[in-house]
Amino acid sequence: MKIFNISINYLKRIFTNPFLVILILAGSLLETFLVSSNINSASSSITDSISQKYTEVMIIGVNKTANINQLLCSSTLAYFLLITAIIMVGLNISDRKNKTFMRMYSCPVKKSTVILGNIIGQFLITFIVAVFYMFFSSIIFKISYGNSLVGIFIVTIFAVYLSASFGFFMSGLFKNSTAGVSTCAFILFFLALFSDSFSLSGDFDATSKFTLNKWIYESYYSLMQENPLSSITQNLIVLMLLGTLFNVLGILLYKREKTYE
Amino acid sequence: MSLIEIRSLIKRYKNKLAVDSLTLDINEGEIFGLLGPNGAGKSTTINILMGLIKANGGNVLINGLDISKDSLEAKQLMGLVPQDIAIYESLSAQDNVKFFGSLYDLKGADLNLKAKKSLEFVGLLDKAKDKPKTFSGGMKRRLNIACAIIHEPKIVIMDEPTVGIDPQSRNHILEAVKELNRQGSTIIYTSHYMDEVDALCNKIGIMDHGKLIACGEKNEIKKLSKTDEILNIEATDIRYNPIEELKNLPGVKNVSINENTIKVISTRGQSILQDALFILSKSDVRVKSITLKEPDLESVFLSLTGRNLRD
Repeated sequence: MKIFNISINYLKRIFTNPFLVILILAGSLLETFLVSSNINSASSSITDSISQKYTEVMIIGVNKTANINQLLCSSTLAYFLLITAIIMVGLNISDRKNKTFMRMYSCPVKKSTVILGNIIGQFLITFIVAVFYMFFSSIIFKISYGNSLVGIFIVTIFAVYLSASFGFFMSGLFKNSTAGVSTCAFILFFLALFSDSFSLSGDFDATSKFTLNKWIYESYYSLMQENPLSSITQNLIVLMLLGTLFNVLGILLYKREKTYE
Repeated sequence: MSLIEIRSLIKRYKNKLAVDSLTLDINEGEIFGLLGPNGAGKSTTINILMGLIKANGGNVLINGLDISKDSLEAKQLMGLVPQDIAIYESLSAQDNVKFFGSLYDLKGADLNLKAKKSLEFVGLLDKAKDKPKTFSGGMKRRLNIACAIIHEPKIVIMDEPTVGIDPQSRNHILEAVKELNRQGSTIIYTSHYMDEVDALCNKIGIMDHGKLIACGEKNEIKKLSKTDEILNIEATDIRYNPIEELKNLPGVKNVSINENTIKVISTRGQSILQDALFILSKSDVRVKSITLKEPDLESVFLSLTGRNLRD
């Protein structure tokens, strides 16, 4: 029961900051709108020039292939799921600074309950971000997420787990919230850049394996292409291992004495 | 019967001994004042009592429960008012109190009722739905207390609860402490303000360098310095530091300067007056007034530790 009170309190604190909520929820849709508008205007001019010379042949009866907007959506989703980790970095560091962690630890509640309560809160907000984005991107941009709702759900759970674990680990590293949030944003920007999330050009194929984003957006993109869930087993294993690694490192950081300060 | 028993408590930070073999008993119904300068070991002792940090030696029993083994049960009996204001600025006063109350297993109608009671107790019921970011420092301090007492704890630990607040809020807090005690709570109170400790506490412990150097009833503690007299010399301009010269006078135990006041603790207050004035006039110090008074807690503290409480 106490664990859920801590999670609810965590969510309450997020939703008392409307600017942050709007930024996280609407930011992803805005980015998708801007990038897809650019892509569409560029591609329509190419299509116009081609259609004057050639006849388009459509083959009926084969699997629908994914388009550039789906690739864009999957990479934007991956980026925004990870960027949500910044919330945890900010809130946990402010908990230490404002001594509210200390107050919670002085109550009859285990340290692990406090930490787990916050992780569950972070998990829920990241899940909300994912569902919100997928729902509205499918309506506004007519994005198809494939035919496996279960597959999308599983990928989302794994991605959210990784994001929350990353936030938990990063929040244990810093004592100053400005430094923590800035460093986290900086790292996530470069991870997105080297995962090819921004350019979608394929120029960063070699480096993308070392990013968190690649394993997330590749999973979504594969399911959008209507591939079976088994095709992304490797991605799911990597997401799970990375998430667990960040959790273990986070636990080690939070196990130190006086982590409430 | 002792509600809190501390036996041979030791806490070490690397090479520094923060708490050195502390043994202390606090009885039910007492308002116990824990005094000491910064770094004396008060906060470390409180943190061990609250189960926030582990001791390197000794043990602490809270109502018979060992804090290192039965920490959750022992914490249920206590409420901490930390020195820093530990509340969520973005949540309403009511939500703050209710959240911390929920961590003491309070729920439903009971939680709502007790949240209302504790806000009423600190005079913030009319501000229940307001966020602390709109509060004054004193109101935040009062909310800090409300969060600690919602579960009606047997023991309330208050670490400097009146730092940096207006006189009105300070009086409100002092009255609240007395009322909590009347309602049956045992209070541990740390403060830099001697007048507060003098007015509130019936038992006092003085810590210095991690050790308990004096402990007992307030009147007994004051008697520790009964042979001393305090000479307060108010001057207009102290450019030259006369401490060393004054210390060399016969019977002088301690000399301190606080802004424009020189405080001399001596066993022979009146007889050194002439010599003290001579030293000051030689040093071009212009004396404004001189008072000779009986020892108070501050002078006891100074005489025992050789330091001012705010050093």
